[in-house]
Amino acid sequence: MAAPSVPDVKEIQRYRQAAILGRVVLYLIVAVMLFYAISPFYWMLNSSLQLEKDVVSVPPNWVPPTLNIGNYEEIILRKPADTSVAFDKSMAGYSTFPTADVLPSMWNSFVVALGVTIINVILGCLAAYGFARLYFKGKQSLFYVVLASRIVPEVSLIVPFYLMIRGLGLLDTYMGLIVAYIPISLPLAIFVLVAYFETVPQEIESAARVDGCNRFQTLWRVILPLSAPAIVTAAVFVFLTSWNEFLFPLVLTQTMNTRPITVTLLDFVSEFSVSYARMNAAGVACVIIPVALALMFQRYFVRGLTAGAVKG
Amino acid sequence: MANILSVEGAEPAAQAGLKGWFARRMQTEGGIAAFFVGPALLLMVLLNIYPILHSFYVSVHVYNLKRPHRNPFVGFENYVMFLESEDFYNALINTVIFVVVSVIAVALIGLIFSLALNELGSGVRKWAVPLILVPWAVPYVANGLIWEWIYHSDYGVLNGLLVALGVIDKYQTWLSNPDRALYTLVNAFVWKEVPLATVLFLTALQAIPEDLYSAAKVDQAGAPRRFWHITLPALKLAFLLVLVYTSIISIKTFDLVYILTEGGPGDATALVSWYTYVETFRNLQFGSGASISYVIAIATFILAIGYIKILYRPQES
Repeated sequence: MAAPSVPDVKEIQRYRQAAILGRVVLYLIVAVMLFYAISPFYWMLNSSLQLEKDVVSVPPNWVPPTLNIGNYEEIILRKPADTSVAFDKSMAGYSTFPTADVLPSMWNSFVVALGVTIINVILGCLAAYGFARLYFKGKQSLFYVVLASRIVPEVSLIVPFYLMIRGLGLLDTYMGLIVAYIPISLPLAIFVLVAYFETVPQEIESAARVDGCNRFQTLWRVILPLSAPAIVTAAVFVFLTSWNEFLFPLVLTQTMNTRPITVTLLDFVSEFSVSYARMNAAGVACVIIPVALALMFQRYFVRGLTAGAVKG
Repeated sequence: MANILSVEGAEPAAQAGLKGWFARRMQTEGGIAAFFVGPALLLMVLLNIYPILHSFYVSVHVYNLKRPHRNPFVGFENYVMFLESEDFYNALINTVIFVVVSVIAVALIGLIFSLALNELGSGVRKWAVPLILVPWAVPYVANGLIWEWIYHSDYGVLNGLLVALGVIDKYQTWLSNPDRALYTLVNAFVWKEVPLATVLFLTALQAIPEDLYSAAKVDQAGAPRRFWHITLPALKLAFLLVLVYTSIISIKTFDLVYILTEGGPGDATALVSWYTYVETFRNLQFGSGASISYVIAIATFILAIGYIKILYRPQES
């Protein structure tokens, strides 16, 4: 380091002030960021805990004047529409009357998303190992084709899918939804896993092979235990993508037997439902599981994405 | 990949039948790869490539659900028809504005947030990162519901907040204002997509070795030069991921439009995916709808290739 002459006191002071100012700006940015990310959730929660008359007040109530969990009771416990009005569900693709289908449809979302997660993580790990570690003809182009197939807008796949799922007799079944969701998140799962598998040192694998492990055993005993962050990331990715899917279930489900929460949510947004408090309560029901998952697994998640963002 | 160590060539398989076939396959690396990659690939072909091809078939026929048994082949007539339609151009312009503004906003905001988080200690990151990641996790339908309620022209908190702060003196319309509606959509989109961009940038920033900066300091490089010559190049791949991912997602944006505006007011927020939906499911013109999707997909593909060409040159670093 070059030896500077005795530093000027004033200069040191200026540096220190600049450093403090810089720090203040950084904290300010983080504060704005947190406000932007979290305040919309606060607002939904806040509105869902108010009485209807408080929700529509001007100016708005920043906190509930009287805490009211009645909206939740209502969306969870109220009987479905058919007890209040005669309503032929088979005639209107989905009911526009706000019903209490929240819990059953959350269950539907959960079952389907879990099914897709299990299938895609298994298939994804196998495929990712092939792409990351084995040589075969046309590997690179195949990988890109798998990734690029997601570029086609869902809207355009809906019609062929509807015909296919109907042809298989899977309309309005869990299996039909699972089949439809698999290709949506599988490429992303493979992408995350390939990037991570490639960071596992080749030497560890070679050592296992010398010890007599075949390829499956190598994957199972060496690669997978080292890749927990990527597997969790892929699983969370797949689960959330499936839970959040909207257009496919809108077309592929007909009854409450399979309709997921994202579609049920429509009942509360439609014009027939004038209750803003209930609408927000239903919104909370729709986001609670994704939000919990994101908070629980974000640690893994950040590590699992690292390989993809840094190395590719 | 050196394969001297491979064990699969060890035993010559002379059996016949299925078992023998299997054993012979397992002698080559390509054969083994087929067992690993095959299942996923097969499903992707059946469940994705096949519908894509089928939708191309649909796109060159007239498929009108009102007349389900008459599907004459019309060649590229569907394509010509929508390319000449004014509604399509309106949707195209809306989409271009939506995509450009969204992608720039997501990349820029994500970059600023990640730089701030990177500078502050890991103590701040530990609790801030999980919190900012939350919007990314929620469905677009819920995202739409949340923002619809915030934007509400009579009871919305956005109006309430702006009035309380004295920015505006009476409640405004947001979603039903043709000049603002598209940007309210952009905001709802950016809100959900910024977290992932932030995390991607942040992970790339954290991977930059500290001694690079120390060395630069020894060489008397100022902060702007360090940012330009060390930070930005290290973010190249993260930029590529963010740009490609956000572009693809924004071009496909549909759920938000469905919940928030249904393309309105008028056609101010009709994006191409919404236009395709209307053409397919409201006008029941499946052929025409499929042809539009095809053009969107090809345009997206060219865009992605363009990004890769610009940002991802081999022999980097």
